[in-house]
Amino acid sequence: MSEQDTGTAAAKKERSTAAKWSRRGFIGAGVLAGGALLIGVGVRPGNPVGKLKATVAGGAGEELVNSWVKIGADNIVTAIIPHCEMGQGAHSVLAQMLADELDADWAKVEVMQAPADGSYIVSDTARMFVAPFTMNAADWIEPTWDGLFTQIGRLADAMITGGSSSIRTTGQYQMRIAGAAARKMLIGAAADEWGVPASEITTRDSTLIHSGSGKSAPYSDFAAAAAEQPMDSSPALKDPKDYRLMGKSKRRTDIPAKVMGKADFGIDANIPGVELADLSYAAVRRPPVPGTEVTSMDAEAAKGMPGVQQILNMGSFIAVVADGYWNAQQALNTITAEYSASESPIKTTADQFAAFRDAIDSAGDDGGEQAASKGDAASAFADAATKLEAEYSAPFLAHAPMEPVNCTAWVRDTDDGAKCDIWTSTQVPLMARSAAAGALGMDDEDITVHHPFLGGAFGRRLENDYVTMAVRVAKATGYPIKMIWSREEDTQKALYRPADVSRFKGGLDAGGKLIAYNNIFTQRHDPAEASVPGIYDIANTSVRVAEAPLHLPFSAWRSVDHSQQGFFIESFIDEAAIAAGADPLEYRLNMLGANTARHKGVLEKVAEMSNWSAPRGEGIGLGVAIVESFGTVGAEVIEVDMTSGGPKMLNVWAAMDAGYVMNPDGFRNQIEGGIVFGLTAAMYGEIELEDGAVKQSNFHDYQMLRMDETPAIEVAIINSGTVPIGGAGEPGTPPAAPALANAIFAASGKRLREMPFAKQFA
Amino acid sequence: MIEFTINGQATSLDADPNMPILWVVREKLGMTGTKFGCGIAACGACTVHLDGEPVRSCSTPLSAAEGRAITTIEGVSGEDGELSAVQQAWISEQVPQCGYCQSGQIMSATALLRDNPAPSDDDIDAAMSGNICRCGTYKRIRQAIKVAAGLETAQSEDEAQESAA
Amino acid sequence: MRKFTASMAALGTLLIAACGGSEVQEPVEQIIIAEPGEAASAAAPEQAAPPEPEQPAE
Repeated sequence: MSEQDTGTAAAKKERSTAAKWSRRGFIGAGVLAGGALLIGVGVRPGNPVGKLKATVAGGAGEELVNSWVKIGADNIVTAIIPHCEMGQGAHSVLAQMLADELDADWAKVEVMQAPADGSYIVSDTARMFVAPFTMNAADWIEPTWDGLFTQIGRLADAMITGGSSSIRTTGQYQMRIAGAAARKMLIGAAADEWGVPASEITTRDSTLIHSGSGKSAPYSDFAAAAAEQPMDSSPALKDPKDYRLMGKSKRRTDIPAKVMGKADFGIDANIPGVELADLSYAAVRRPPVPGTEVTSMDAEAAKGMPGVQQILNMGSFIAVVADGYWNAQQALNTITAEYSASESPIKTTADQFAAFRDAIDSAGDDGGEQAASKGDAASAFADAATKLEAEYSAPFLAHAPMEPVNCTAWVRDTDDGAKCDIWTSTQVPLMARSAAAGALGMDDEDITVHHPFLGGAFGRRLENDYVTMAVRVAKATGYPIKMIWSREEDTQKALYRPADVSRFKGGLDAGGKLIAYNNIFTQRHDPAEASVPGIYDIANTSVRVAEAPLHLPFSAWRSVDHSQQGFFIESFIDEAAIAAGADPLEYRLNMLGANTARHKGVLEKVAEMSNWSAPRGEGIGLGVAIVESFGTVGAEVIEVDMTSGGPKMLNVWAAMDAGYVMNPDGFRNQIEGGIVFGLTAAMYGEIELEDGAVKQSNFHDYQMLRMDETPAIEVAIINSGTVPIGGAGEPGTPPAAPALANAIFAASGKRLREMPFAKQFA
Repeated sequence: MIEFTINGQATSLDADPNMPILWVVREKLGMTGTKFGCGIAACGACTVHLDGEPVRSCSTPLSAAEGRAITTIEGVSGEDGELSAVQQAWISEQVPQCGYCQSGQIMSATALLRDNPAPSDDDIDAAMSGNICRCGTYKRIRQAIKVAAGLETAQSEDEAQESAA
Repeated sequence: MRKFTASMAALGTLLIAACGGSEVQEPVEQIIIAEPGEAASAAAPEQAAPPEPEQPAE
């Protein structure tokens, strides 16, 4: 199925739901109107922009038409993007969506990062995170949900980028409506001025046209007047057949700066008014074991080191402030310290895995929390013709974004009281502000967060531990500091994708069908459905979660629970297929349950792409896995060569159904990257514990997949038209590890039940 | 006082000769295109050229630059600001995601293509495997190198649109 | 509704994580050697270091 073939189906499906989107309120407008929200209430002239106007559109000749778009005197349309740009392309694609509805000239569209301001909360993203079941609410309740989540979003500082959600939430429910509403306001202004009906005015390439009178004008001519027009909270949105930018592989707007070395990341922060030579840098060291404190330090040697300005024992960490990062780090390296004793009984990796197994053993046959239940899985297992038992495990993982954790902060007294400015790479700028406010005892309003590009994040930058540290140092010094973590600190003192153990007892009937599925593990965080094999029709299912201590702090890591569960579930399904003597891909197709047309589609597509049925040479094998995550269904086939002992990955084929893809080339880039991320974890990813501390420290022992090991990757997109549409950033990752493990089994007969794989062939 | 040229500009600096070039470039000269990734020459994010040869600036002391020429990502474009063939290919193939490692990738690729105008896949592996991309853009980096070398045709924006139709 | 309750709990967790502890923590020990902008790298520590400016724990 090509994208061409499915376009019509997508068009039909989208058309049928277009009305639903347009019922949604213009959220920003509601918020700016003072919280009296709500939906369907036209916003009065003057209200939509408020005090934001000066900060966002302060330039000469600039007019803010609504909170997401401004139009300059030069007819440049600027899309104001509430999400951060961490490589996922959201800035560009959200601008594409807004510009398409606005009928803007793409060559004259620019992108602006929205400031860290409560007006730019992404309430629909928050809603997708915490209450995805409300995303397709009934008409009568929709205004209530919308209003509730706008208020909650404001309270929760929900300016957040994560969950593969920017395009499918903010894009669909905010940027498109903003673009369409702005277009309608421009038309209204032109109609008033020209004395013609609004219905006779058309738009194209940032131009208003009245063909009857021959009048036309650039948007900029009516930008000021448009701002006085009533804002429509439910403008009509385009049919897919009318898309001019959506669904097209427009080039990303952030890439030119990134190939010239001109893109600013958090670590590149310059402080206005502070000379380069006067900026100070902080190197920091936290205690090696989580939850412990610095009890004493010996900094005698560091005092005499070049460039050192201050040495701080902050209790929870040590900081050296110097005239440059290198000097600061060199001095820090000479400091010795004593730390408080850890209360955690877990000292080693073996201790942690023993804790998982103890918890699972203690839960017995029916203990723990039931995550999913259907039929009688225990009896079905007892009666099964063929019984399978398997235990899988996955280790802790660090995020390891290429830009090490850093934060620049300046806390100072002014005539207007204490103020703080922060420059940092963050997925949650308003939460960063709250964290800083808490650490400083200041009000949110006195803190300004500047958030440039992120040099990777993968969930790490949803946390604010580093922001708190930087502002505490900056408060102590009273002058601006740029805190940079060493890669060692970044690897060893972070928050982690949790390790886990997962046990299965499966039963096949005489025909080889999986009729009993008993599973228990200990780590369930998010999304809740990740551990449920819901795509398959299994008559008797029991999924349980036992409670176990976790030595290292948790944080979301690209695809979150799917990163382990994808491996556990899809490896076990493969074992069932093998036990049944079936072809693993065929077996999956036959097992699909209700509402799985998309799953069938991606499996059939990936079979075709990989030429699945064609025989491979001795020692070469194919493995398949399918995982639905973040609204996208993805199937991957990996071809691996085991003839030289260890796995050599040759090819990856991926078929992804996200419903409708807004930028196909950008989507493919995300899936390719998600696959490499998953394969890196599969081959090498492992954070181990020694004496309660993380053993790995840098890329020499926390290895990444590199160019020479990366297989060829081919990604196919299926636009099935499902609404709401699916995400791009995470869904490529979960199928990669199980597809590789399954391929290794096919090629060598060796079943891998532990991640990572490479060391098992050393 | 250490004398060297940076991106063609003669420079003399009163700085610690042991300080890695990375920090001199970023914090003394204010050129932030060169990135800190690991500090132990294991990731390539800090790659610059020293007399044309790619080096890991996080682990190369300033003293090594005495009397020599440093080129950073800021010096890769032509004097008129025209992007190099490698940079143009990085755009046509839409290589970067977060972009943080890409300065180093471009410096490594630039050196490869100068010495080897028609690299094989193995040549690319050998020259580029010191550079980590955590976003996983290796496929596109490989393709962009071939495009820059003239071995493959650049993807135009229109073609990208067609493929998505 | 149970799912909604669980979701709201998740949001609460997110909020708590976002805010962290609201307790303002002062440095346990602060050793001041030089000010920014001074030729700190040239300054000998004996000249620059004030006499034991270490602050007591709060």
